[in-house]
Amino acid sequence: MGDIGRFKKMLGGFGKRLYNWRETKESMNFLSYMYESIVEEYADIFNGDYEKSMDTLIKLVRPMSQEVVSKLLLEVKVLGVPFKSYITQKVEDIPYIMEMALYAVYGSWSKKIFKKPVLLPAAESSEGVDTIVLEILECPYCCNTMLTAAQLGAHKYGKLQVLTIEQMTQVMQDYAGNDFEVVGRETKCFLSGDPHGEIRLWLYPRDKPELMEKNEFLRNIK
Amino acid sequence: MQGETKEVIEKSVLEDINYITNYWPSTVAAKSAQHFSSMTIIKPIAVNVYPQIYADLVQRFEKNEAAIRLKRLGLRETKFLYATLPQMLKKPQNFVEIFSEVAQSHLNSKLFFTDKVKDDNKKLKSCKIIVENCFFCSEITVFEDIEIPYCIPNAGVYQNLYNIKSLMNKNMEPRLIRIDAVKSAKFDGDTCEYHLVVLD
Repeated sequence: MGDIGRFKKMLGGFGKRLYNWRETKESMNFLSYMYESIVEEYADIFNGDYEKSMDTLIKLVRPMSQEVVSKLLLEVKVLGVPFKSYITQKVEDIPYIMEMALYAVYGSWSKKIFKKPVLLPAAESSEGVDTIVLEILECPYCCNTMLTAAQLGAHKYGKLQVLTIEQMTQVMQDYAGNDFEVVGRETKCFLSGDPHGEIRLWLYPRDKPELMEKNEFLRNIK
Repeated sequence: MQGETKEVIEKSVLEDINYITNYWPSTVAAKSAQHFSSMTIIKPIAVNVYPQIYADLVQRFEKNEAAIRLKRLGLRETKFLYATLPQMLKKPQNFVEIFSEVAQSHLNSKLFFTDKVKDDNKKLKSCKIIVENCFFCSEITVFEDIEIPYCIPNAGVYQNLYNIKSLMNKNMEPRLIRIDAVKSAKFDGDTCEYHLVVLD
């Protein structure tokens, strides 16, 4: 059972819509074109090595993504209600807050793109830690590319999206005072021939880093 | 930009046309760009990738090489746009519409064409493009240009919007153009400036 009451959820439903409506927005297609252009440019720098291109891109983007997501989650107020007031210590609340944040970013498209996030408690997760599963119904990133899964090596094409969602969850956990390291991977991808996409986020207690070594996904996917 | 001759531009446009005509998405199941054409994302998230890429390329290469690579990001964006939304290539548009439609509907910007220079036959030789609400520069933390205008990829976007359409249709006048980024906006309400030159 989470800590966010019905009234607060109702207020949050209104707030996420209002925030998305008033914020300047850009074409999602253009973002995906820009993303592919950057991947191509770095592949060109590394003599056609797309895996190395993605490695570099992630390394460059991660700190900025963390900064932007922190601002979004910790500084935004709608009608005087700060977004951070929704962040609680209970992992059961993560799916609700994540859904709200995704709506704030993508508007009503978030409901077409993502299924409701689901929390798999540690006891039910094959990796032995609390896990958030986010199913992707449609992908605005890989729909446009002519690149193949094989060209990307151990990377999945939607890494940029994973990074944003991973950082969102990390910022929430740090703010709530939970000592977790959030690790995300795109475990299913249209580009790899899966019927839908899927992002998994694992909440690793910082004092048990050895648990990560048992995670099959982390061994195979960058 | 040094090295961006008419021949270099023409070769690159022909390669882009080859990509567009052979385009086939790898993931048919993921829906198409057409399906996502009305989808938007809030600006702070959309532009958070670029600052580090700009800084990295400027650091990695000398000024002219970095400028070429940054502009090429934009040239490629247009290639992907026309490949995934091919109806835009076939649409009859006048000179200004070719640029302004994409500026407005995809980049949330407004363009103004000023200082037009024409030859004796009243054919356009060059002009200035003033950009209001630039995709890269507006409403974000101001990023100081490191000798190269920050929003230089947009010069590539606009240049290829015209050139691909022109060489694809083969009957457009002028045939090829080049657009150089002159300055990017420095404060809220400031504008960016590009210079358009007709090559033939």
